[in-house]
Amino acid sequence: MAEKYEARCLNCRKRFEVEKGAEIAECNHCGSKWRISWVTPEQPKVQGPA
Amino acid sequence: MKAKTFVIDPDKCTGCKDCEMVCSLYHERVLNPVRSRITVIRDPLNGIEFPTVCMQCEDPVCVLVCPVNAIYIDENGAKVIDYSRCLGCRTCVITCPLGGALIDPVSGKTIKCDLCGGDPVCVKFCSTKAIEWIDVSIANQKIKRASLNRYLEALKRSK
Amino acid sequence: MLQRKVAFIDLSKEKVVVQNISKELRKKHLGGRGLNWYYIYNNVTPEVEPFDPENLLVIGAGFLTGLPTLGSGRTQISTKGPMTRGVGDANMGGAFGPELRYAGFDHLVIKGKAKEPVYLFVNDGMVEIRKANHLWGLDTYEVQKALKEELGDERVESMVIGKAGENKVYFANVMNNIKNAGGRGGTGAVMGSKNLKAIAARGMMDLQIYDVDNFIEYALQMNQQVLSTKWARTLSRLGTPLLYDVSYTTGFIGTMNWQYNTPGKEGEPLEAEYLQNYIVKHTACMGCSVHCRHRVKIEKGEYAGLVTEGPEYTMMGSFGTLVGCYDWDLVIKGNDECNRWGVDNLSLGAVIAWAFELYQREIITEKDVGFKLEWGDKDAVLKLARMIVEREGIGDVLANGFIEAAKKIGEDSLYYAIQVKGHPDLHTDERGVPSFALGIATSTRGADHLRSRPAIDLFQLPEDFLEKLIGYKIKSDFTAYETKGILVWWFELYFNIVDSLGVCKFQSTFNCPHCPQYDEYVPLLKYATGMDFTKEELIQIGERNYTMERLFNIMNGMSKKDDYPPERFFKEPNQRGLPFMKGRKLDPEKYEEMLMEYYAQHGWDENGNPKKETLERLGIEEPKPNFPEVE
Repeated sequence: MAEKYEARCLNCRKRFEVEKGAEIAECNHCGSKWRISWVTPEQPKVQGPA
Repeated sequence: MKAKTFVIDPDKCTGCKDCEMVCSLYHERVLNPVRSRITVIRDPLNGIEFPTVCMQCEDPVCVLVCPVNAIYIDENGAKVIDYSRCLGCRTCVITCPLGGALIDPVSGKTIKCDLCGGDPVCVKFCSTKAIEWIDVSIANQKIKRASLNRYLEALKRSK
Repeated sequence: MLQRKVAFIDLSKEKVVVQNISKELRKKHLGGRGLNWYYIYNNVTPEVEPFDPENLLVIGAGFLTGLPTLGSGRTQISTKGPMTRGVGDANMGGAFGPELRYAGFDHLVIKGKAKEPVYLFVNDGMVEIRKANHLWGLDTYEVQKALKEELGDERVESMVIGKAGENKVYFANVMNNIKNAGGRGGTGAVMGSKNLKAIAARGMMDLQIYDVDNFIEYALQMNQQVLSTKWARTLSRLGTPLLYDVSYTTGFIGTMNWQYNTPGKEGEPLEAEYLQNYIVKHTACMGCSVHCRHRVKIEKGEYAGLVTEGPEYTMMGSFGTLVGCYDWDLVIKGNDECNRWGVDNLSLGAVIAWAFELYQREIITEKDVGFKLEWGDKDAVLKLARMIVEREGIGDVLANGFIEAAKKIGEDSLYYAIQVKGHPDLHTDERGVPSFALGIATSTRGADHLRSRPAIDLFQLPEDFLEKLIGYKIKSDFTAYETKGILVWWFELYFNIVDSLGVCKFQSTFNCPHCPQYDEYVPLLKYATGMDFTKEELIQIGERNYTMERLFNIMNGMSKKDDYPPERFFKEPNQRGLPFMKGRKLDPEKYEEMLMEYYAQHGWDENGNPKKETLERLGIEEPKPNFPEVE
């Protein structure tokens, strides 16, 4: 079963899906692009603008 | 019964002293870290957080030196003080090379870790797993893995 | 938990009186911040100036301080503060509060002024006043090491002042260990004014827990509840610097003294992830399972070899965005210096940034300072900081805080000072977030984020969820003004309870709606103390305590005029940040409505004065001095 990893978008404040280990991700709600860091291997967060 | 052991990793100890607090609560029914069986040397001014506790030796010197045979080994392998016999002579305190036996400064009794009947309460409260009570075979793997990681880290730094 | 006592200490007369703390007082104020302000409200009359011997310095352990749960290593330090001449109040982590309790005390109420430097030794039910001439002049690390040695016990925990407190810098701290700061409010300056260098505590007295088995189980459950949140996991790894990523990306971080609301791309080097390069180990306060602090080491460069703790998010503004520097080395080095000096790095940073902008605008010049104050000049930042702490040259003017400094520099300069009630703000830029703006404006200790900041407002949580949490309909939109007066009111009461219990705000609903709050405090209080409280009673205690702080400020001349955020936030719109932040500033009319909603929610009149029926409902009476006479 594929795990789902989510981060909170700083633009629209909604949670969006991030691919495991991704360094860059796009919010599927508002289209903002973010650089991603990983708090744990299971927990991504927005680090800054891409 | 599978043999178990404490695995202590000072690098993970944050110095929060939750272990000391709950140990005193569990054993003495009051909160007082100086009455704990586990001791964390917490010295942030010198950058030290270091947990120390009885390691439940395979060949325990405390059992050997006790003049009245007050320390017995229970079903979990814990070396436990029988207070109906204990004189409070401190021979175990003085001879333990690890500082595993201590004196309760309030009651004056000699105290040491009894593994809380097999499920140590300090371990439950340790959020970083700086102290674990696990099967010996798993402990061995963990220790090897930790030493491998140190090696890889050193290799990385030397490049 | 109920056996802990209060010591009334008169340093002028060198006398100590010890009293019990009644259950009735606990029912009204709990402990910590609540009881501290009960003592000050009743005993410090308006004519007493902050540095007068008659001013009180009150130290308080929270009612749940020293337990293995919820980060309960906290201590409250309260006084009439020099910057606002009203509530001067600080909450400190670390291990002092727990040790104070093991030594038999929950509160120390300190009056008078020692003839020469002294320290207090609190040990197993007694308080001793000891000479401290040999400790005066030592930095905060040195004095703590000296006390451990002198008292012959490495478990001694001390709260001390450094150079800043000795020099009565208006924003001096009280410190414990490397980085636990009773920051804000200038409590360290008042301590210095009393010639009190340190309070050392050591104890072996049992703390009785009412229901041991249930307590152990529930304490563990509380820790697990906190640790299961994304917030705690992030905090465990990155510490408070995690906030930087959000604030600089969105655009609510004061930059070059709040001329801008983010450095933008230039600020990238300060992203929290890059602090990982310095981290040696994670450490915690006593009773904390989260461990939000770092031991760090600088490996190379000018400050190579420095091992210290911290820094927090606060320092990333002070020696970072506010002065246009984007270098972790400087943030870490500056943080270590501030801790040694015992100075509030938030206030210091805000004052330095103000001076830099005054220099940019030629209100002060190179002649006034002795060197140039150009944005991004690291040496100038450190040099000016040292001058303030040492009270050298212009540093002597700046050390007295915005209000007094502006009297010397020129009243126009005050527009550029980001402060409320004379108290410098955190480096957050609140002009885009109305609830944050109201919070810094109504905070009893002056501009500050830890009295009410509803950080969860930024998450835009669903409104039905918010209603369940807060008990009122709250708008999800964080740029809205409506209902935010109620939100700030709720958090003011709630944070008062958190401080009065002595648990950590980072393990409360401050930044995470899933952390324990009132519902969890009720059983925890029962198991720990045996006392029954309902959620409604706790909320009312928060209301009573908060209103007494408000009354203290009113007695000392404050009024509605002091409940406004800095003028700049109304006049100059945000220039940077995400599209929805750009162009935002505070709307005066909407702010006014929000303020009125907030007053009404408190049961205060349209001038911000608590109504008679509110005082009656809360059982707040006129101040009645009760500091025992010691002859």
